[in-house]
Amino acid sequence: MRYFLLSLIFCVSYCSAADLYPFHSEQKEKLFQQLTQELRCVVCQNENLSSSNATIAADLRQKIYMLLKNNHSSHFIKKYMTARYGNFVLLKPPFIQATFFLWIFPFVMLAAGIWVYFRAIRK
Amino acid sequence: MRNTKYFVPLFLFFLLIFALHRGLHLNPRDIRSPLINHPAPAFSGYLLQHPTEKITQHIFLNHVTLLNVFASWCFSCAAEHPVLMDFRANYPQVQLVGLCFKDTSAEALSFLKERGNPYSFIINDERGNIGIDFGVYGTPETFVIDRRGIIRDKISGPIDPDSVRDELVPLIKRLESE
Repeated sequence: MRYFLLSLIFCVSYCSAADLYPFHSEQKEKLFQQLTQELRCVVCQNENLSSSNATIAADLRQKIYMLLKNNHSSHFIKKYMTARYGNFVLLKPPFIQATFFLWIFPFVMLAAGIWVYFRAIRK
Repeated sequence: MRNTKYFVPLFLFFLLIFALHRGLHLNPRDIRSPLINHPAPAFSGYLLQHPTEKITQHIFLNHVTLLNVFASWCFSCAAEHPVLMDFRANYPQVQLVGLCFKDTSAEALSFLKERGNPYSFIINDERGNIGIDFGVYGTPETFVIDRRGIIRDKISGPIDPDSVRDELVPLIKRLESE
């Protein structure tokens, strides 16, 4: 019974999302879901546009919806968003000069760890 | 000297502490606008008080402008309002333009009637589309725009007498002499 109710909850949230932003093609709907999950709601910091209840998130979802309806690509939409809100809107930071260490550092640490490990076991 | 390597973890530990300490003092809400040093986005809207009169980005040309995004429903805008009234009185040569963000005309007008109107012009952005083009994510926000219509600074959140004195006025003085 509990699982049935739980599944109902998910069903409701899925249906409402589809009803609010109706698309003719399944491909665009997928693109919409993908974009709203990859873009950050700028006021809530660590939430994406898809799950946020903030008004700005709703406005930006509407904007993405309109842009997709007008046949703009997801590349165009991401550009559109970063031109206004900066790279901060991308939940996955791009690989640029400012984020060089952010991306490289884990691999450097991993390599250093492996090096120390092998030196230790050789002794 | 062969024991120096034992200090490496300690050194890394202090490096980590330094990084985390710095992180504590950074404001994650302080996001630099990508529009700074770019021309103000093109827009076309209507004046709040004269709904038939058009207003575009050309309003920024040949003036140093403070563009203030506000709304009557915005609590911090009401708190910021006296600062704007003072600014208007002290720096009448600076064009103070309001962007009325996602508000109804009636409520915005009564907000200004009650508290006074510091703005030279007010753009009515009822649906928030102009705001999105300016990268507005929360009201109030204040942009400084130079005589060529280029955005030079943006303050997110309410301005206070300190930020006017320390940030806005020095920048405006510089832009006026440019």
